[in-house]
Amino acid sequence: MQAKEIKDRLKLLIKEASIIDPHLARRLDEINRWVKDVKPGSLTAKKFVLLFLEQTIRDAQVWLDIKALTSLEEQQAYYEHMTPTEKYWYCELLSNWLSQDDPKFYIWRQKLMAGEFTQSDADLIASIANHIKQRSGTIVKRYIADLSMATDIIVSNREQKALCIQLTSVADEFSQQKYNDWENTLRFWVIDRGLFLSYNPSTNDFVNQIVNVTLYNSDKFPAGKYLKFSL
Amino acid sequence: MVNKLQNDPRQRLEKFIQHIEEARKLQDDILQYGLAAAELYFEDVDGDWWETWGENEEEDKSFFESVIAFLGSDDSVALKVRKQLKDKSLPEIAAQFEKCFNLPEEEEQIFAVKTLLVDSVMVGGNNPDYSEDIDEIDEIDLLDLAEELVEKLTIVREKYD
Repeated sequence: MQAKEIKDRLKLLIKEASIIDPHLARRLDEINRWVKDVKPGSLTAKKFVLLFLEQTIRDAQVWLDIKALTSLEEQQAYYEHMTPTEKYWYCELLSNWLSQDDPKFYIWRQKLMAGEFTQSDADLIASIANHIKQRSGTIVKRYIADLSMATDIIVSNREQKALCIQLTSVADEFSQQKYNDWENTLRFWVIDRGLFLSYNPSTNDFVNQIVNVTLYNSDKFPAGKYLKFSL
Repeated sequence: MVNKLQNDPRQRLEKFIQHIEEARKLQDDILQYGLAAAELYFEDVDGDWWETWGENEEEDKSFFESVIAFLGSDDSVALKVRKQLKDKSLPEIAAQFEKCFNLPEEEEQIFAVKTLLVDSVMVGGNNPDYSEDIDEIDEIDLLDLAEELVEKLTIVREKYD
C-alpha cells in the first residue's frame, strides 16, 4: 500500500463514524489535524505515525462494528470471537478514550518531535507477550494504552480478567513520582486493576518471573486496586 | 476497508471477524518487528506522504469536508448553526446536512434542514416540557436560518458539480 492512501482511509472512516459514533469521528478528526500540524519528522517518526494510524484505523473499524450492533444475540456472537483482553480493550478502555478528552494526547506531539516515543523495552515486551501466549494467556498492546494510559500491556489469564501492566526497570523503581503519576493515570481512565512491576534485567530468568507475576495477578488481584511489585 | 452497514447479520459477523483478525495481525507484527513493521504495510514509508498531508487540502476537499470547514468558520450563518446544534460535533452535523442535500428539490432540502434544527432542540432539551421551549423558539427564525444555510451550502456544493 502507498503511504498516501492512509489519509484517504482515515477521512472515509471519519465520514462513516460521523453517522455511527460522533465521538469516534471527533477523535479521528483530531488525529487528522494533529498529523497535518506536526512538522514531518525523521524516518523513525514516520514509521511510528504510520503504525499508529494503521492501528487506530483497524481499531476504529472494530469499534464501528460493535457500535452498529442491533441485538443482544448479535453482541453475544461478536463477543465470542474476542478474547477477554480484547473485549476489555474495545468495550472499556477504547470506549473511555473516545468519550473523554485525553489530557496526554497533545503531549504525544512533543514526544514525537523529541524522538521520545521509541520503546527501549520493546523487545522485552515482545518476549513477555510470547511467553504469555504460550501459556494460553491473552494480551493487547496498543500505542494509545502506552502513551495515554500508562499501560505497556494488558493481560488476561484463566479467569479472563484483564489486568493493566506497567513495566519499569529497577533503576526507576524508587521514583515515587512515576508511581503516583501511573496510579493517577489509571484512575483517570477508570482502569479497574493495575500492576506497576519493576524488574531487574540483570537477574537470571527475569522474563519468566514477570510472566509468572503477571498471569498470577491477572487471576487473583482484586478489583479497584493498584499494586506496586518489585522483582 | 471501510465498514459498510450490511443487513445480513452473518455478513456483519464475518466482517467483524475479519476486522478483529486484522487488528491482531498488526499487533503481532508490531510486537515482532517493532517500528520496522511499517515497511510490511507501506511501500514508501520515507516518501513525502507526511509533508504533503495538508497540501491541496482545498482542491481535495470533499463536499463533506467543505461543509465541516464552513460550519467551523466565522460566517454568521455558521455561527448561528453551531449555536443551535451545540450538542453535536461538526462532522456529525456535516453528515446530517449532506443527507439533506441528497434530496432532489431545494424546498425539500430546506424543510429537511429546518427539521434537523428543530429536532436538535427537542432532543437536546431533556425537558419533558420541551414543547414550551419549542414555543419560545421563533419557528420563522429557524426557517430563515435553514434557507440561509441551504443557500450557503449550495454555493459550497457548486464547486463539486
